[in-house]
Amino acid sequence: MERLMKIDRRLLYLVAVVVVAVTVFFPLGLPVKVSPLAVQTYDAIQNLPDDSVVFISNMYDPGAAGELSPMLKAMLYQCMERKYKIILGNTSWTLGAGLAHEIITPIAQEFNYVYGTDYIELGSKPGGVVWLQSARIDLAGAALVDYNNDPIGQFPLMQAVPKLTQEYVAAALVLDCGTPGAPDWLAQITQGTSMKLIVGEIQMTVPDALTYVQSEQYTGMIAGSRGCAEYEQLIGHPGAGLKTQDTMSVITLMITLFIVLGNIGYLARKK
Amino acid sequence: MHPHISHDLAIWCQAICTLAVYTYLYKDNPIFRVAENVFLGLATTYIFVFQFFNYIKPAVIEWIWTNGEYHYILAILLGLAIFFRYVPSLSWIARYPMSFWVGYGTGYTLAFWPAVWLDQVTASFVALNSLQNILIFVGVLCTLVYFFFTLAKENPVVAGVAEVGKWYIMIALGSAFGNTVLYRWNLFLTRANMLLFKWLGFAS
Repeated sequence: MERLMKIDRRLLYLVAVVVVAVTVFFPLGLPVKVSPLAVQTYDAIQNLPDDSVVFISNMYDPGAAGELSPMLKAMLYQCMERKYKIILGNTSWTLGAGLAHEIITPIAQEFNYVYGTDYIELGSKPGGVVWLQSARIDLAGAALVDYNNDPIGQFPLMQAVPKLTQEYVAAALVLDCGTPGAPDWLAQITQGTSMKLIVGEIQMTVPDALTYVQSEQYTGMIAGSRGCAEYEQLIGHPGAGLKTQDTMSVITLMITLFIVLGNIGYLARKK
Repeated sequence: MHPHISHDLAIWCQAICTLAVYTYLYKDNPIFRVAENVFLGLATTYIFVFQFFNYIKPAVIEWIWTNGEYHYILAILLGLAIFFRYVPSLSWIARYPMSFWVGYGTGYTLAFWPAVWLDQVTASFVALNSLQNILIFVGVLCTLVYFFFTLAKENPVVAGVAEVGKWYIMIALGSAFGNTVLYRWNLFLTRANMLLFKWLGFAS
């Protein structure tokens, strides 16, 4: 029994790889039940006024792209089906700008969105909360150029949104994996205003973010990969989130088994 | 189920770098070190170049050159002063921009965050009409008592309430740990999908 404590970790990694590979090739087709939080998030975006402008902030880099890129894709699908105007950009997450560009470009083409009129990419601006403060006062002055380094002032969408405030932007959809992130958007932009703040969180930060949902500071939240799978079901565009749920279920069982075996070994050693 | 290996150079780079990083699971080795340092160098360069053309250059041209707002030059000099930390005899100059940042951060937190926290405090005042609300109320009170270190824990009531708070904290930390583990596994799953479907080309 004590040998359970001495299992080579490389053997555990090998078991994990085999489990993942098997479930990837032979999916179990387990159902994914949609939670009330996912419905709340979907409704929050769906019920925005027609012709709303939404600011989608991809506050993440390649380290979190595995969970947040499918969320961004799903959010873009819902927003473009509702024909919202979209401003896409972030502050301080420079590596995320290219990731977002790769995601939004084919979806915009699919929905015949015109760049500069229906949507615009701001790229990534330095400054974090300082940039958010500046954007609240003068968005074009804070952004200066778009993702392609063209001056912002020439685009009709940016002329229609001079400030990042509730008068011009109906909702901020923030994909968050660290600092600066959604709490900074809350503190700087949406706190005490009618602008809705809907977030997509990595699984790791979901427990912290739930306090903001409970206090209604976040209007909705896509909670990790499971939340993304539920959200994809609601919008009718199954994607990477839904595809991984079978494997995640098996991985969860596997980890639970490892923990139980480890604890059995520990208790046996204690005796 | 036959593989159709990708001919895309970008996909091959992704695959090679992913596998190079995963060699660390066996043990630390030069291949991992090379991949790690290549990523660091590439990311740093990309960030610098992107920010230069996407913000710094247009800011300098528009604000200083076109609009004549020369006070921004002082801000640039203050920011550049941080590099004096590499000159031992003049490293004291780097403390000025650092103190600016610390001061701004403190002021920002004190100005903007109390409103956020107070909203959460008031949200904890829930009607005790459901099990969930009762659990929230009990959890908030007991956890707060746990952190009152000036209260005598010899008092059995205080000790009992703090013990309940301790269990709430352990459950919360356990939840955080479990979520972190799942997050890491999901990242691996994304890489595995890339290797199996995009690189090796197995049909999904």
